[in-house]
Amino acid sequence: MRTSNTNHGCSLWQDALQRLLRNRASVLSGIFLILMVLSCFILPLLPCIPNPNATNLEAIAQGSSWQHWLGTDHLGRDMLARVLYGGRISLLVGFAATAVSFILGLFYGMVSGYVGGRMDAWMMRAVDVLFALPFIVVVIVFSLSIEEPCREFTSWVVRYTGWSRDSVAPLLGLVPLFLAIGALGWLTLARIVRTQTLVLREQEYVLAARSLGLGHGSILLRYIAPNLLSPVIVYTTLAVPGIMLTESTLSFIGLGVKAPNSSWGTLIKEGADRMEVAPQLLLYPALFFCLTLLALNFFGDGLRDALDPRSAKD
Amino acid sequence: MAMNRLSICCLYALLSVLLGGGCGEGDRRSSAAKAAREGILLLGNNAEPQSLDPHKSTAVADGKIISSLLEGLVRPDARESGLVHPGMAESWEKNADATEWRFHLREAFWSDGQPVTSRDFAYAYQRLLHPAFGGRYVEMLYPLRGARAYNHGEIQWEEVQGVSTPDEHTLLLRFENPTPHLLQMLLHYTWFPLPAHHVEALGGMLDRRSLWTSPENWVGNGAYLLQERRMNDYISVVPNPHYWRASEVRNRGIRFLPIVNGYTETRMFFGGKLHITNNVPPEMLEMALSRSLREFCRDPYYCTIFYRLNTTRKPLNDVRVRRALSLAIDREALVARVVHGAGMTAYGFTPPTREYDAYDHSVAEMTQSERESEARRLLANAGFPGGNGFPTLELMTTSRDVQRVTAECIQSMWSRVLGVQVEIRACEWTAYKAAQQNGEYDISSSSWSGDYADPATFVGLWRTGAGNNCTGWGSAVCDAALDAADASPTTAGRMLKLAEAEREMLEACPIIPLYWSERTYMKSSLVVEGWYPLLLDQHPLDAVELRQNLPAEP
Repeated sequence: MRTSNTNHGCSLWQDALQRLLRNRASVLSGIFLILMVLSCFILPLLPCIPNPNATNLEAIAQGSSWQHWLGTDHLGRDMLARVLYGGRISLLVGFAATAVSFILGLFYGMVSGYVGGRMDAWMMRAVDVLFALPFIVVVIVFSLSIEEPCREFTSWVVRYTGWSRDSVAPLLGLVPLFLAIGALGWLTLARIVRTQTLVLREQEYVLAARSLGLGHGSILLRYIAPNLLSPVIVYTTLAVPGIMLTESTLSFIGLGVKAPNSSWGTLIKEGADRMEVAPQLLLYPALFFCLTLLALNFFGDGLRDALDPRSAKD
Repeated sequence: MAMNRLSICCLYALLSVLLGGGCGEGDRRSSAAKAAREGILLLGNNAEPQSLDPHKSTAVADGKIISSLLEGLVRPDARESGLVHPGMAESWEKNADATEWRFHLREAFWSDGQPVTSRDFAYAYQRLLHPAFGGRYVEMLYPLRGARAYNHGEIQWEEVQGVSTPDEHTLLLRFENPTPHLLQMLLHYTWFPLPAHHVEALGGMLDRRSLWTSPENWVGNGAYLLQERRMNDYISVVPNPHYWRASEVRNRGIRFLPIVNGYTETRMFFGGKLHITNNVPPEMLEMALSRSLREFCRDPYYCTIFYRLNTTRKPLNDVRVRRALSLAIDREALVARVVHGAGMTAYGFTPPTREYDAYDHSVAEMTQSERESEARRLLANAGFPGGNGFPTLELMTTSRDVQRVTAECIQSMWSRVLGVQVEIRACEWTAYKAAQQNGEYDISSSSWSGDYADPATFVGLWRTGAGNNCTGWGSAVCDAALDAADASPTTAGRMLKLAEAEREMLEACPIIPLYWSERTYMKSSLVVEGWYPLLLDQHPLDAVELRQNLPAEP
């Protein structure tokens, strides 16, 4: 029988979790996100969701009906299926690109901050140089230049695994996109991590570990990385919406997902073109996109409040 | 439906708030109204021109600008396609079988004050035909005696009998065969003169990089002068004071706006930024039809929408594959649902007219399911039963909305009927043009509109190695029939031979005809006057007047 939380000792993580659970907006957002991810990745497997690329010229730009819950688009394709498949791609790009930048940024920042001195100065100047480049332009150039190798990789995968091209190509076709976004999205993270590392490496427990003869690798892994996690997690959650927006920007100008596959960005573009005639084509994908972005932001906010060590033990 | 209305209203309300107050067509502050007061026509012109040099361009959008800057021997009528008026030529006579035409030039001047002479015409024709110049549209001049031989480097220019200049104001054109429709052809910019003295001064005849077409260097003899060119923004022209009909030019300038996206263009039109648009995208067409908008224009047009197939690449080098791809397309559904009826299903290339009809009636009369089973059978015979082993082809389109939607629709038809997968590559216009002309594509979404009111402007495309053929296909039978058509003394005989050439081409299927398009666009009918429906879309822009009944701003 537990009486009260305060009577028991609890770790920072348990404490944070409890504070997170007390924040109603972020709990709701979290539930919404889980539902969204589940519906985008599992619902399309059900037989009641039609093929998102199957056109039906007899039923174009229809409103909602029992057969098509969200209506059909300008080529008679089921909107619900397209929004769900689009969400799959948007979320995948959002999370995969974030993962790429997470790994790069964490590693780079930690090394830079821990080694310090001249090495640190050079590594940070490199970040400054990359920061000075216009993000979208570099992403465009980079994704175009790695498109060809990625296409070869796709045909290689198809040849050696025997998977059907239809199922592999849409997903592998995204690799240049999230590599490009991820490869440039790590800069801010690297700076945050470096600053934290600079503080952490002067802490007594790190000095103690060092004086006990622990190697640099172990110190980084066991003492520095765990203490970095909370700011990094918060930053990452808040970065996902930004990356999803970048993806939709690229798809909007025609560089992201290739037709007939869709992402939320391409759906919104197609809908925006036709908003006078069939406003539902713009409304539904925009609604899904906005709600997801909002939820991600709320959740990130909640996480930051929960994990902020200065607000611990209120 | 009620829901739909409501949401449209909401969207418009939101938009007008975002755009800082609604601005309708009649809005006095809109840029279209301002331009109308200044007498400047704002014209949507599809895409950024390839070039303003008449010998380096093949696109329709370029032609419109060039025709306002340069004038040929004759000029078009504003109300009727096919009717011509004297232009640089004051009068002309021909011999009995129309193989020899003598043009008497009027006293006219280039915009730098130099007189326009017959030598400027001969210079232009020599430049386009020069074997070292690499002109794209040379076929237009092939009817001239000796032109083809000169273009192939077989004879010298002095030996070409087709063009001669007895004196400064006489131009004598001789043809291999009777050319009764010559005056029609002369409206095309390949027959326009060039300011010889000026082109020579700026790099010479064969300099493809010459800057003579840039605004600061421009010299022309047309109704307008090139004033300003801003890439992907606009090209503006102002009346040419040296033009021989300068007093009859009805407006004070034109701005050509290259807007590829039809939705953007239509929205700009309703936002008061254009007087005439280039094209109405499919869904807006439906809206325009159902609300019977006063601004909506729907003109007949001599134009075919089709796909080019690159017959030099596998598996498109197999005629069975090409036919299968063509048969698998449900054109009725495409025209009814995607183009919303602004066109006619095409089973042939040349739009049929009263005297000419060469399309494939046997295919046209089949039902769609018969066509589809025939397509599957052909594909299986070619070694790809059910699409097994068929490589993924690339379907190249421009970024134009109709083309993209059509491509997605056909992509799904091929996948459903044949199990054939294609990838869509939407290219920016100049990249698209370059890829098409260099044969760097598998399937290319194309369109062709007639340069003059005669089937030869369509069928002539498919001569072996012709500049606008671009499919790698060619056949001796087709070429022979085209030659026979040229040589034929009667119109009826000519039509028969042209139809024979077209049937030979359709049999081999280097292209997939989709539909014969209508021309749909928006026009501020309250403001624009002097713009009438024309089959060939060759509007003399100097005849367009902008009514200024809108009250001036305080």
